[in-house]
Amino acid sequence: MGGSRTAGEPLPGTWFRGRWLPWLLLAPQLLVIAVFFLWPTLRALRDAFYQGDAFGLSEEFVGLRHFAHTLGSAEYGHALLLTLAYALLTSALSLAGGFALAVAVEGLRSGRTLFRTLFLWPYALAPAISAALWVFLFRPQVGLGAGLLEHVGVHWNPALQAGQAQALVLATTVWQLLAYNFLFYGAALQSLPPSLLEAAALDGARGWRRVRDVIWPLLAPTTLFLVVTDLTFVLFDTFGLIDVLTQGGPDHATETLVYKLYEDAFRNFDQGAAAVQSLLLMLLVTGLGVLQLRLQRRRVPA
Amino acid sequence: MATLELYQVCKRFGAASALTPTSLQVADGEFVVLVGPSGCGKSTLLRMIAGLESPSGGEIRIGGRCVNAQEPSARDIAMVFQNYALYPHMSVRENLSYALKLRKLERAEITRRVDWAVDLLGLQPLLARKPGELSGGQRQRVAMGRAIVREPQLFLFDEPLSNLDARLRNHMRVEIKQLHRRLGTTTVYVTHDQVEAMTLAQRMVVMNHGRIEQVGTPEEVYAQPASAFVAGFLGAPPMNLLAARVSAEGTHVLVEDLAPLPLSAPQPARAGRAVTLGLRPEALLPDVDGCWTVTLNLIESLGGEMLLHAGVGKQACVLRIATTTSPWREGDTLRVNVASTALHLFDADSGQRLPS
Repeated sequence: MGGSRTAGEPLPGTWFRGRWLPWLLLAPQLLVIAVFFLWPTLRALRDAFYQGDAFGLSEEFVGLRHFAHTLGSAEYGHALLLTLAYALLTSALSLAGGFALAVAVEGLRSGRTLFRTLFLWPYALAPAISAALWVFLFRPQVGLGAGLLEHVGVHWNPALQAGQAQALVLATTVWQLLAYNFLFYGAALQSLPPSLLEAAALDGARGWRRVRDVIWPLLAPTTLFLVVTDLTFVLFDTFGLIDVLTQGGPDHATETLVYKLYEDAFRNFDQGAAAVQSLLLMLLVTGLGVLQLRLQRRRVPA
Repeated sequence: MATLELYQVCKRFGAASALTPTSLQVADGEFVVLVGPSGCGKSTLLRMIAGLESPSGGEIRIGGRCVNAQEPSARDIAMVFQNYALYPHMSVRENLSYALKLRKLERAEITRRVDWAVDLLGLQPLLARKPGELSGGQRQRVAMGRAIVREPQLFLFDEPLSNLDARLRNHMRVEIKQLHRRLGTTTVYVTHDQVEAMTLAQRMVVMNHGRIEQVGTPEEVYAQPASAFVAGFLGAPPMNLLAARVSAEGTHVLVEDLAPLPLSAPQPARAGRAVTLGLRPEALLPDVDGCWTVTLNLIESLGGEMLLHAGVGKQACVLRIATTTSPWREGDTLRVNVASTALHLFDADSGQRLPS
């Protein structure tokens, strides 16, 4: 490769002579994507337009009937609203909490490493495990947390009280996300140019003004990233958490989109409806991703 | 405006000493430049004056008032940072007015001061822009604007021109000098660039290894460097430093393989001892009757003048000749004369200047 290199041409040394070697190297990853992503997605796409009989022996093309049915159902509307409220509330609380904790820990004179390690632990747990911990803590009559609530006069029974079940799910999710947000805000705080904070100190920005006028705006790119990541987490990855805590109950009070999807697919055996719901959920999250990319591109300074 | 006084100010980081106890007085309205290689303690000293670092000992006074215990914002100072440190999310106008807003000045007063700085620095077309949309020179100018709107008692500059290209640096240097002339505010300016130091300073402080080597006007420091370090740090190209020896009688200085040079001030006390001989590049003059013979290794033309890199005995030196065309070629030998008044002698061990 002599002379000048045009854009898009590979760098010298990154060039494979044969055609088969690159494909061979890509094969394991492609296989994983095909089996665990492409195949189920295509299957869901197909199922969304077909209706099978009860014995799985025959199928019939039903067009948009599943879509119409799902979108028209009151249960789906309920789950959608619940999920939106759950996602927004969880993200907002865990963002605010993670930010506040990160700022507080950065401001410490000593013991920073200790607090960083402690606040990080919840993130190291799988959602199902942290949910199991909370179940243990908030089991009526015997749980430590439940006991405290009884002590202050709350009659605690999330298995019956919709509001309490929702609060429990909310608290567990926030607890877990908080660690993640804390981690990212902490890293972002440490990577802020020190001279900017020094300039703020010289300008006389202290305490709350410093946080509001300087630190929070400077961390906007991190916030943007975390909003999308948190929302995605809440939409998708909270299945295990809800399954362990409440199984969507009582009376659908904690049945979010992802949990309803599971119920319809594996309890009600309504493949069509589940396929439609998973497609809609995927659309929602893809939309979030696109939004994030758009905003990020606009924010990146020239 | 105010005086700045440092009494035995020092800084240790753990066991390492970044600044040995240092005292310095800066007069009201004076422009003082701290200059030295990186790690010499100049930035540490400036940051202690600003209150961004706390001294390990000593006292800092601004306007006669001890500020050791005061927060940076309470010291009535303004600082310009090397990387400008403008708030990227605020417009130029917001950057300029932020400190004033925090001080709860009246809106009319803020507008007056910002407009004044904008006029002075020609920032009018940039007011609505964000720092990300400005060039390096424009950012630098906004950073200066942010400093002057505060009408501080003391300006601190931390290598403000280091991130600019050479042309812009020369331009901004002139602007800073004019700004100081107009405002007359006491200024402490840190740089590693000796040209900046020479051109800007009313008084310069040359620092090395956490201590002050010499304080004086640029002319004094250039003409009478207090140590071999200062001699080798200032001037472009810097002074030639040659290993030499005082003759047995103490009347001449000897460089190996070369004719002895007479000393205008004999050194009987150092007779026979090793010294460092300092010669400015312009002190070596081509002369057919010259006492030294040198070999030209390399010729650099700067347009109006030439730098001749030459071998003198077993050592090397640089000559600066004010000529546009060279009658010599690389490899030629050349006779040069050395004026006895142009000799600088330094102790070979301590580097301290010897009377000459």
